[in-house]
Amino acid sequence: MTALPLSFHLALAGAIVASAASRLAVAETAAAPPAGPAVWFVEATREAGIDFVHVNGGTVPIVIYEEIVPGAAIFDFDGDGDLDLFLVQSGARRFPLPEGLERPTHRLYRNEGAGPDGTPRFVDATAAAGVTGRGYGTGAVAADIDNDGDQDLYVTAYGPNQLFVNRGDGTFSDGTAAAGVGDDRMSLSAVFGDIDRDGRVDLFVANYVDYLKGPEFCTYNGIKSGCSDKEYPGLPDSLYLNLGVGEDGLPRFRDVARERGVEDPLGRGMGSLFADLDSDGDSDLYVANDGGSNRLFLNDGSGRFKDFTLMSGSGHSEAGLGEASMGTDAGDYDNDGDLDLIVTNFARETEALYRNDGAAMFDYATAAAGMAQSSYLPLSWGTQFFDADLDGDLDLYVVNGHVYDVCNLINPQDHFEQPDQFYLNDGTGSFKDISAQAGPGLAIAASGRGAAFGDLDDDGDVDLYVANDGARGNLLLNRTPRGSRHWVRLTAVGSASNHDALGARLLVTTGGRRQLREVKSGTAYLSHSDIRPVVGLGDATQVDRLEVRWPSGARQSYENLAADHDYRFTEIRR
Amino acid sequence: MSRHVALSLLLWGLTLAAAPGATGAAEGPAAAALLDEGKALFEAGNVSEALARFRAAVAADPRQAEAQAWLGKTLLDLKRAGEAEGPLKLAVGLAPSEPEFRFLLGMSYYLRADWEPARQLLEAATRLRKGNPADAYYLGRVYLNTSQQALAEEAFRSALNADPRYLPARLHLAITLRDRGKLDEAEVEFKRILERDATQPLPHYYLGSLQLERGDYEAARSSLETSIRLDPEFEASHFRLGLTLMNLKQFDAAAAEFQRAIDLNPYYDLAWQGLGRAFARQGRTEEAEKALARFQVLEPVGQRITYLRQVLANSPASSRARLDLAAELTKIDELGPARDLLEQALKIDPEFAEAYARLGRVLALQGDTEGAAVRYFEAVRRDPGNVEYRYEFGVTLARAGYCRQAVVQFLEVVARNPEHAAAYGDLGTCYAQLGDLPRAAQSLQRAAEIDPIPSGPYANLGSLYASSGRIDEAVAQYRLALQRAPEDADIRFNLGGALLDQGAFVEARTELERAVALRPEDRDMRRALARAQVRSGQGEEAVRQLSEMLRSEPNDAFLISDLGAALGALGRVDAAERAHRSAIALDPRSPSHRLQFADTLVRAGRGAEALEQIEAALKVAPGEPEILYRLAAARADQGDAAGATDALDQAVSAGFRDGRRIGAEPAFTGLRGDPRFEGVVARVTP
Repeated sequence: MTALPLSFHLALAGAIVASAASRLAVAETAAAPPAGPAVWFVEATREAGIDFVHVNGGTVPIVIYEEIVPGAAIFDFDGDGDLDLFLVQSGARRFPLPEGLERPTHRLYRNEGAGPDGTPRFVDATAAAGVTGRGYGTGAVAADIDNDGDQDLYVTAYGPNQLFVNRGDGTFSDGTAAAGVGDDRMSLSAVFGDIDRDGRVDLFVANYVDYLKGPEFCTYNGIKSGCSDKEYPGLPDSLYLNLGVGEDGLPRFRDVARERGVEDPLGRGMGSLFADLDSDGDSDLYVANDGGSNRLFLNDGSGRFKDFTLMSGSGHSEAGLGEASMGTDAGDYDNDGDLDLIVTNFARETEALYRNDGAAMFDYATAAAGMAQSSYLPLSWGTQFFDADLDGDLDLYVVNGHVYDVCNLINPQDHFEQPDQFYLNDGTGSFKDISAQAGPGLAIAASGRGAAFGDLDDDGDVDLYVANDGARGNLLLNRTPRGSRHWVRLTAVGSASNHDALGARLLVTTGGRRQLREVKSGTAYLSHSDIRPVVGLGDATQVDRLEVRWPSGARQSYENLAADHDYRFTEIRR
Repeated sequence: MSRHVALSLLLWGLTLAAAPGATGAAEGPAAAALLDEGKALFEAGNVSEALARFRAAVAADPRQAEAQAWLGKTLLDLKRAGEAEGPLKLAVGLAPSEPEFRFLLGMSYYLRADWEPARQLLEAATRLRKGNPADAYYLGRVYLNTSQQALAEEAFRSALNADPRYLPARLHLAITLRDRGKLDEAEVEFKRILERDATQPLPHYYLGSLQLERGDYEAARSSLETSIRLDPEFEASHFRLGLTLMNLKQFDAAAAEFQRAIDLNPYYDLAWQGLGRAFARQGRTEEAEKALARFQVLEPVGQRITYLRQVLANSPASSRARLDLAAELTKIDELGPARDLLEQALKIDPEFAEAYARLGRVLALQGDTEGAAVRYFEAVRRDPGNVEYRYEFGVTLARAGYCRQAVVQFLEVVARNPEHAAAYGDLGTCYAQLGDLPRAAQSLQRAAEIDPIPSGPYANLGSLYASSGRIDEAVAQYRLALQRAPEDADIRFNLGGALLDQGAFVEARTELERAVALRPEDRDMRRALARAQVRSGQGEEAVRQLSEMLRSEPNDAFLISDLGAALGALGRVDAAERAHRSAIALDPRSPSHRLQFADTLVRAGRGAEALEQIEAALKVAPGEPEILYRLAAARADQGDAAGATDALDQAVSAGFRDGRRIGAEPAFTGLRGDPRFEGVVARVTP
């Protein structure tokens, strides 16, 4: 293990400290929450310059593919150090657009930095970047596919998916055809991960249902509605192995899902993630399926997978029934050194919190964690673990919204638009729903789907963008009073490993507490968040020790990192 | 039967018993007397006799609303809700302001799960008769079944306002509160039920389940253990206790509870899953995998089977329940229990045509095709218009080797349903087996026209054409079949064989390579591939492949013979001869080895020896048309024109039909134009 000298960190930190402090001071005076809330989120979409409205096609009532979109991505597309925003547009698929009406497109917003009030300002860079896209968009994920130091973008669709390859100057070329990743089925989530640890990130795509093999409309309790997923056959998923770059400089992929054991031909894939769930140093795959068992595929280290779902207990409800699952994330919420899982489910199904015993055996911990009652009625989608209050444990955000726009007619207790939920981790492995006290951002009722997380205003805590179905999205800024709490943001750069260091494990020790983070792409639902973990330190003013386990197997460690800074560390080749 | 089920029945029965009298008097003494007699018999529990009295009463005076109502109520009690509808409609029509009649009519719909009319009638009853708990209770049940939980809650509360001791209403109020996510209030209601009566297992079970869902595991354990103590055969309680113990990390005890649930209900799929997980947490991997495998088998049908077992427990005399349960058990290959149930059903109802058909299906799956055919015969006799019974009867007859009789059934099927593609397909197969090739082809073509999706008719047609020497047509049909079933190794194998016959050796090799890739363990496919490799210039590859196969089967005469043929094709005649002689020594009764040897000898220019081998093969299999044909070619090759024609004549008489092959045979070049030879050739029709 290699420890970098303290002086190195001070030199690096010097330039950062001043700017972070000034931003922090400004942020605290704007939109100040009342004294004492544990967390506080404010909505700032218009102020930030985001005027995007998602269009789902507007069939009356909406049909299944219109019910399940869209996602969003937060990533730095132009390499200027701040986080930009890519918003997926769907549009109209069923009917042709009226003449004269332009087809709505995806939107890429470039972050121009925070204004005087601390709100980030975004400008529309879509056309210049060349990412307007085609087809009925569903989700998005970003990664450095070709290891050239910039972020490429993959957009899923009902119709051909698209790969936008970053030229390095903030513009993109369409590399779909060359890469062979333009699957035209109903694709939902996509995630990158290096399954065979060859230093190139591979791509998993969850495909949903074959819409053309089922009815358009159904009747529930006498009400005409879009149909349940059960009316349609599931579709096999795709696992694209990264073969490197061709002579034209564009990446190449090959679909190996069947031969690698992850095809799941009848599954109705929605959310997915790569994470090392059995802590053996490779990237396992978890897929949240609608209306049936989810799937846990354990990697044997060579990029071949075995279905471990039933043995692990991570595919079903507590009673053993398949649930209608949508979004998923992995995080060590109980700080015991392994990655747990959260899966969002349908109305009248609780969220599934699966607590890992370390060997990928999971307990259904929803009730034990205090989430059973509050998660039972809402219909939930995007979800992510993150430390909102920087107290050193992972909290949980859940995006809600019903799937049927006529749900209220079918059951008066249901509503199409629902407020999101925020669960505060009490530090003992339990969560408390404090949505009502978490600020005006949590009071917004919408039919939310995807959510992307990242420090958009660069003030040291995590903000988010919620993508709503057929409506404007919501940019929620984290304005939680900082008090005496501190943070670090960690950027891992692979060299023998993939450049983004997807799959790298970071163990942060402060005082007696150890926090585990893993660098991962995708997650939530149809969305992509900033891959750089923001680690809350509580009252600690430094990280005593940071240990990094790279996907290549190399290990490095660092000591005595001062709090409230960004740290960038590069894998040292042996 | 579990006591909780008995409780439900008792409570339901009590509700029905409390029916008020109706307005109006009997129009005649006879009707009134019959009505009174009926009521007395009903209350004494003599329901069948009561039914007879009520029938007589309404016959005597059809406008007597009360008699109609009692008739309907009695039919409801006998679980004949459909029949009850008529008299109850009459009762309501005759006395529209009588709430009890509306209630009963509503119940006739409720019991058939026809919720909308049930709702309307029960709502009307509650408006006409405030304060009757049963009206509100069943209305609440209807709301629950139509996902209107808010209204259900209101209805159950209304029932309890009328009678706070009405336990079913409190139980369902608690269930509704739980469904609405009001877990605290649900728990309060469950506890209230137990305060009144803690002797019933069901409320303890529900409370325990709720506590489990809330994460209060110790309380859940206590409640569920109580439920089990009150009813040790309550399988769901054992299951939930198992889940509770899993959360308490007591995996051994959890496994025991899951096992107990399985002992009570071997089809309890979720209990198998739980057992597997408990074993997995204990590191008992092999046992875990077995239990989880059993779960996967049961998962599609487990809950339905559990439900049907319950139905059967409630209605032990029901042949229908037995049949439904047998159908589900058949899906998971539990054929023995399925058969037992069907035989019981037929003892109860000897005229149950569907039960005969299902039993036939089960027996066929068990391999007893004769027994199956007998049962299908009985099904068809009782329901001659049922096309599917007749079709399955035909299939069974065909499998038992009675194609002539099967044809009769299939023709009957297509006469009744001209679009029955499967019947046409099987009809074609039967005709082919009976040697009626034109009808076979016609039937298979019709099958493909009706339903172009399955590969079967095309594949069968291909085999038909291949067997009659129409190789080009066979290849076309196999290709159509493969478009529909590209992963079918057998079709690909047949196509490869047909392409070999066509002389398209490279293409044949490609197809056979694909077939072997799909089914690498199939020896015949690998042998055919070796032959194709030899013919397409990959003799060394064929030798390598055959040598590899011989390592595991060193005394396989056919493999050795094929190896000889491959070596001969490569010009390694000595090695080939050794292999051929070895094959013949190992298996002197098979003519094939001598024929292959003959081919090698011909290739080596040793025609006379080849002729000897073929004559020896003929001694082993006299009258075999293929050998006679080969004899003809060998004699022609040796200049014996007359002998060649004689042999060819015998071959054709014995059934040789491959005119194309005769036409392409180089050995016959010298015979063409000879009238006798041409006369023989003319007898071969494609």
